[in-house]
Amino acid sequence: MLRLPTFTYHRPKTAAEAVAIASEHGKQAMYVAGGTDLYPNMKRRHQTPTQVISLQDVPGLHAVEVLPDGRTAIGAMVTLTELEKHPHLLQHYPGFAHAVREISTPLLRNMGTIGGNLLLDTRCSYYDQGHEWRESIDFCMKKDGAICWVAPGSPRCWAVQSSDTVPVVCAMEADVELVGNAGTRTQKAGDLYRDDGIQYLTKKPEELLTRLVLPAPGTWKASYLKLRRRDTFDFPILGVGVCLWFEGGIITKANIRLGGAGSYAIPASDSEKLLVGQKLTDELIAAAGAAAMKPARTMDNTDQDVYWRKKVAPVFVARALEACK
Amino acid sequence: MSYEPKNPRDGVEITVGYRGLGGQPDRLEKRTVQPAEGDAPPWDANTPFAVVGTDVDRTDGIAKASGRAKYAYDITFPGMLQAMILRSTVARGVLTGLELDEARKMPGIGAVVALKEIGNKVRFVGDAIAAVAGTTLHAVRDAIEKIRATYEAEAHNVDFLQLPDAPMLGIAGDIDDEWPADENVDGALAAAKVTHTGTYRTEVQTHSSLETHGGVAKWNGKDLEVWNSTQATFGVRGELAGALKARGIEVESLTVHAEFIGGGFGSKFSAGIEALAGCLLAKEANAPVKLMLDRFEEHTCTGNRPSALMQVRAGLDDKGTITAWDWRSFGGCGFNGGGGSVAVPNYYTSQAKKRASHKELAMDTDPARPMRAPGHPQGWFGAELFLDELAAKAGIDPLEFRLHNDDQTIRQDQWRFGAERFGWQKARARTNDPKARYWHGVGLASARWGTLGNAGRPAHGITCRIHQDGTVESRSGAQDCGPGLKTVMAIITAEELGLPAERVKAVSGHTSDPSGPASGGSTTTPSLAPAVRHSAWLARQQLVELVAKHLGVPENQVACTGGKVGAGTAMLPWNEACKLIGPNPIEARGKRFDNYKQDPFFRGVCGCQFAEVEVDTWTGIVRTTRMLAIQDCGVVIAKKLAESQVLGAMIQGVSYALHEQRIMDRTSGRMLNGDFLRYKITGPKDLPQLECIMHTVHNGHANTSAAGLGEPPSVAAPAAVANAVFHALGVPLRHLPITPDKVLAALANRKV
Ligand SMILES: Cc1cc2nc3c(=O)[nH]c(=O)nc-3n(C[C@H](O)[C@H](O)[C@H](O)COP(=O)(O)OP(=O)(O)OC[C@H]3O[C@@H](n4cnc5c(N)ncnc54)[C@H](O)[C@@H]3O)c2cc1C
Ligand code: SF4
Repeated sequence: MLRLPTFTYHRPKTAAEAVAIASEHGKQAMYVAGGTDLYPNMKRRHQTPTQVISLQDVPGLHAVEVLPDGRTAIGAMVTLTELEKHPHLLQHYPGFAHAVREISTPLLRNMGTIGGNLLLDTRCSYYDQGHEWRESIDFCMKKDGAICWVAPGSPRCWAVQSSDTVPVVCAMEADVELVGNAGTRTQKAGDLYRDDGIQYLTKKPEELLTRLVLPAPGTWKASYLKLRRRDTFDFPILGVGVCLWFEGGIITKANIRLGGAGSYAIPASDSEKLLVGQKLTDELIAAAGAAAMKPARTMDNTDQDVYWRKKVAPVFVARALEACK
Repeated sequence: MSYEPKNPRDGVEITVGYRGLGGQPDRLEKRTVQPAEGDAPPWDANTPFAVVGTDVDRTDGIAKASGRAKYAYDITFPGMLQAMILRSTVARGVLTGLELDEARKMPGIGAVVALKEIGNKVRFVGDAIAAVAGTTLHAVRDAIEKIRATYEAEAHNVDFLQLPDAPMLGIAGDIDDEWPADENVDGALAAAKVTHTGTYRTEVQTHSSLETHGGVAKWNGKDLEVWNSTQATFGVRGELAGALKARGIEVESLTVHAEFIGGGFGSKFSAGIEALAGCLLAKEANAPVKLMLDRFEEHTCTGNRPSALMQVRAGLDDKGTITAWDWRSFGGCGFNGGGGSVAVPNYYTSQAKKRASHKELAMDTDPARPMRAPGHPQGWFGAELFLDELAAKAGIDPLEFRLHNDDQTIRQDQWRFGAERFGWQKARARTNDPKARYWHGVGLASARWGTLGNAGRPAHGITCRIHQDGTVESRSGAQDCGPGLKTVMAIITAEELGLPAERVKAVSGHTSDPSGPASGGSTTTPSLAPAVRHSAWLARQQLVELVAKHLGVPENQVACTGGKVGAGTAMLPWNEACKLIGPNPIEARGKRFDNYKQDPFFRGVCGCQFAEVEVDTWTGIVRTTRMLAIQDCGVVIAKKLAESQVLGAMIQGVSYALHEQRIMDRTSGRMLNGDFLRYKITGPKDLPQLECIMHTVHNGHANTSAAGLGEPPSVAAPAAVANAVFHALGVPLRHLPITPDKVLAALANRKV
């Protein structure tokens, strides 16, 4: 049986109060939004905060707002269910809305938030197991142990970036707003992540994610394509986020991010280069797809065959590009 | 139905067989059978059924859907303790130390029992070491963490193909070992016009019952009551009584309850260490104890369908008849080296010189347990895919090939009818544009089974009661583990009494009621249907006597029909008639007589299935788009439930063909995907359009012509899907599950 360890539950009424509690308890504290990632992780003793800080009562995190400059700000506590049904998002950000809809199941989306999704823990077959299970293999580097079971000679952890929205949000060059001890700062979503299975975030632990800000609708198009074994329930084993900017039919900028293929959403740079300055033709799509095999760094730590996952990256990139036509 | 006389001594003439499927001719024959003295007269093809075979809803459907049904998991008592088992962390070795005292002293702990002694062997990751009961699962967990168990680990192996006595495989995955010489088969192969050979593989499948194993134990002095999630109430009672006695614990009475069971699929025959541990803990703690396994334990400690490696070579003569059939197989079993045998169809090869051998290979994992048609989905996959390959080599359509070689008439009719309904010819003739992204294919496979139940066990019985207020009860101590025994009991009783099914309250799963079989081998309905019928028939006689006397008419003129009892124009509404009963209800005990020794009709169960797949050639992902099953089960008693069994088997078959696979970490000997997030079972969105046509066959073997259905449809489904993939790709995929990497690899190797 998996059970939650005991912890103290805080319900701060402002962001500043939340940050203060988090700072006070340091490593002992963690925020909880929907809890669909944190609580299972606590049950498996991946994360062992003694202080859990709920963001439920923090104002300003619960709304979707169109800003005067046309950008769309989404509060970190907005649930995935709300987002997938939001008319403005469906109309102007169909790629993003699609990514949201692809997450897990309706029940989990009712609880899960966009903030939690952006900060989702990385995953691995040897890590996403109960405490006893991991104890019997002497744990692994990501938590409590010294070695990586997936790549035993490796000095680093290869746990997999598994959030469905991250690749497309990074590709879109959305911004995130963070509140810390020094006040509020804004940065590109892409800069939130790091190529490491353990320290996968760049933000400070006490920093609170308050908003995700999507760029104003314009002459760009974004898409997301998810690969998983079944059409329901499964985490992505490849998630391709694409955003293309057009001017008179010519691609002026291209971002392609491969989720589920490494510890962060990896840019498919060669494919991006092929696209810029071109028209999005079928031949170009095929060529750009083909160039996406190399960056995928699949490891044998999630579902399906490791080489196959790499092999199909071109297909999924091509199809995600197709969706931007 | 009017009141029937006793069975005549010179036998009863009945009509057996079946009505033609679609436009096919009827196959009905007259036979004389001799029912046992005292048995109800047989139903046959001419019986005008009012309830049997109609779309009656599952009698406990609402209770289940609304959560009112109480499963073992739901049973609770004031003061009940929760319990858990400490499991071995090594796959093989010896228990060298077990310190329980600290755990005993933990707050809230009521009992701690050792399930192994120091020096005992530990046989797999998850072998039970000790059990703890306490006020909450949290307290128990804390105490379990205080138990110090140490092991001397030994080298283990969790991959059956790495075992020293496993056959050698070549690069392409074929068994490389020479076939031993055999004059018979070698000669036939040498003389054959077309020969072919292939090696086939399947992976370990876990039962994945939604309700895990376990239950509640409650002592009252020396009387023990157990609520258990089981497929064998009486088996569990016997097993626990024996095990407790062996430990010197006196039991005066032992009652087992299993009114609702959340799936078993063959894994829940034994009480298991968990039920015994529950009883021991409850005794020691002097309180009721609940012990249910968690999902990881369920995947790793409660059995599985073993993996299989199979090789076949066979030959055809110039007419396409199979003349040689040489088969060998290997089962990837648990540590006890049992349960991995593989079954193959025998009705295609009646003209062939044959040989078959099998070897079990023991890994350091938990032992196999029977799983829905043990050995069959593996063997049928190997054999039916091989047959399609052989047919392709000989240039014969798979359906024609089956029709030519299948020696069972019922299935011959089912093949033809199914092919027509599925649009086989057209679908099979369609070719895939090599440049198209999606390729389609269709395949078919056969099903068989052959059980007419545990006959001749008069101890297997049913109680039928009719009360003064008009209520009717039908009771069995056997379990309804999901397929619908209760509904079958209600339907047969209602048919006999001339009532709608919902008027009968069927109760099952308490060993205080008459005994019944374990639900295995698809025997529950064929074992009990005749006893249900007998009980209702006896009860009806008693009611008829009362009504005849009341109306002043001869008994043989009294009928029970349309909710009324009486004769001619003097028909009493059921409730009025029942008022004649008085305070003591009518109670009749039905028995299970032998099947008629005249053997009036085919003894088995036949079926066939058709599948259509769509293969994404870019990614290798296979989807099953359409499936059709034609299936008989003797007389179809509960039509909706029968269909639901078949559809469920098809879904499980798709899952086995495309997804399910236990993945073991070789180094630690642990299951890597021991949860439902990673042990993949087909989800709702992956389901094909499913159709099932039930085929009633009046086999005339006992008073109701029932046969088993749980297993037969699960035999065909994976093979049909694999054959469809072969058709779509032009190359066979010989290793289940058919994951997309295998599809892409096969496409890359395809000779165009
Ligand atoms: C069975 C199952 C299947 C799943 N399938 C998918 C899937 O297919 N795709 C997918 O993307 N996800 C999946 N998930 C993961 C998860 O449900 C979602 O990612 C969800 O969006 C997480 O949001 P949450 O609000 O529940 O996060 P929480 O669990 O509350 O938090 C997640 C992490 O983010 C931190 N956090 C949350 N909000 C903030 C904030 N505002 N500021 C700072 N830190 C914060 C928490 O401390 C925690 O570390 C699945 C989960 C389960 C259990
Ligand atoms: S990649 Fe290695 S270190 Fe990281 S979680 Fe998996 S086994 Fe542990």
